[in-house]
Amino acid sequence: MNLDEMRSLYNQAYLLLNEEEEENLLNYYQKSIGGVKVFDKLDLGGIEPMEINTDMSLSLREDEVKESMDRDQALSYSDLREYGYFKLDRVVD
Amino acid sequence: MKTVKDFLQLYQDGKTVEEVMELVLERIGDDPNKAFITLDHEKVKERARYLDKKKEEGKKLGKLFGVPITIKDNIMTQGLKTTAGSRALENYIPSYSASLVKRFEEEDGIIIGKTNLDEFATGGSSETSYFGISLNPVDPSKVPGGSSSGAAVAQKAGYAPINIGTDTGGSVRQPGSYCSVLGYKPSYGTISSWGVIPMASSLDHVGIFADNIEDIVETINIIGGQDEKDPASIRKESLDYKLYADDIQGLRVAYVDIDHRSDIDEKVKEDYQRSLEILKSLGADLKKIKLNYEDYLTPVYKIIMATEFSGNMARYDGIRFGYSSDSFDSVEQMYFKNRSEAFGDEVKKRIILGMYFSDSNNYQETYDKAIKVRELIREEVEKIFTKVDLLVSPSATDVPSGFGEKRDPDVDFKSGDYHVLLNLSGRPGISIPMNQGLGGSVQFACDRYEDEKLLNYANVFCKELR
Repeated sequence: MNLDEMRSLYNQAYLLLNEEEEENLLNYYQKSIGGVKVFDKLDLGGIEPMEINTDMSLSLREDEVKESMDRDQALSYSDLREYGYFKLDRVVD
Repeated sequence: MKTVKDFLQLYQDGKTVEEVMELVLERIGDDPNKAFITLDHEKVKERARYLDKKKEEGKKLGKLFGVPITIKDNIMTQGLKTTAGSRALENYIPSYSASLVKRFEEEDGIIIGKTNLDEFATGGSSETSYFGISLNPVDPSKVPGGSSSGAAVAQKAGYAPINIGTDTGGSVRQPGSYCSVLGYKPSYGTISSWGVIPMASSLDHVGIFADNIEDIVETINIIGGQDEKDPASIRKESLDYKLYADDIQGLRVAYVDIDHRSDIDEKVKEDYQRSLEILKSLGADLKKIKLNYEDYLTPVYKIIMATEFSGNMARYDGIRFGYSSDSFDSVEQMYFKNRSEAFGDEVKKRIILGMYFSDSNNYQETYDKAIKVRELIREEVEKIFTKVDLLVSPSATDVPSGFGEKRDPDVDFKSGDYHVLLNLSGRPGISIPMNQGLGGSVQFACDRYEDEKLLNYANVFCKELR
């Protein structure tokens, strides 16, 4: 990882990066990433990748109308409420 | 009042749940070991009164009637704050409970509090928790391990007989080892992850701390089993594990060769050797094996964990829920500040690493290779279990350090090699302390879905240890 790449990743992750921290962080990431070179010793041709230990299955519920959560109960879980709605920050410029 | 049986006996002897919970809360006091993030006395008493009324009305009582349980704070509890040890969720109150919490409540258990953890389960000491450190009851100057720090502390301090944690790369077994308590990670999918804040979804397991194997069996029979809401859930509808074994005569045991590992603490080596001698004295047939892919465990784990973690963390933007910054000049700045101010350093580092590994320029050399090596590791473990019944290794390969000691993060990862072996392959494992004080623990592991056998072997071993 180089400095430009690190800055780009922070940007993509929506994380702020202080200039003072850059050198230490870059050293950290380079050391962490360096360890993966150990894979070069292995011949991985023809090996099926394994992403998860199970045959995943998504079960669909019956197509029935059910009661949703009580509105007042749902609102009670947040302090940010107004006029019977959740109050959010404005996200439109 | 240490075990599930102890508590059930108290109620049989005529004590009310309210009386017993007073004693429990008194024992916890002001929580000097800082096991808890949330301990709501009023909610505990309210639940106690409800259970007492249920009993008075002659209704059928659940198997865990009045038994106190703690839940790691990355597991959803309706109406009770769930913070993941992070500023990001500092005031988050879930509108639903995790499936495992509902199952406890259906059996009349009492959730007495939410325990401390490393932030979003990223750590092995509690030092990354936004809410501060937990103290190891064995030696408060030492870390209790993590990320299920508070759960292990609560177990050792005797706050509750059942303490629930999560284990992605050893986060139940390592604090179990550091705090000298039993820490069990079941086969992947055995306990539903629905309602558990994900860290790395293909590696995440819910785990159990307890004082004895009977309590672990009681617990897994209640919270284990199929959950339709969790796509990775085991297919078996319910579990009914029993402790039937009186001995392990003739048991085929493979034990991991650690002679080449100069990084393993001497006390851990001694305790490991002692565990092998005990197994031998119990009539087990021991065979030493070398793990062919041992050197790859840490890098494979790191890559897969970070990649999945960075994806799981994308949802925390402070818009719909969670921490949001007070001031910003644009929507873009709002996103940056919400996330940057919400997360601690370790969380940010793992997000960036994960994004690096999954980037299209790096993917083939990192993540793609890691999941192929994962398959090799899984195949090797599968092959081991065609020849043996039990695989034995040290649990954590180190003993707890002091707080604030600067350690190489790779050293920290490496000390959990034998833990991640089981997360990567989905096999069940249990960490068994060899001492009541600081020292080594041994890890027993079995083949996938052979948890009942594992717990039986562990039970025979534990009885011999006592």
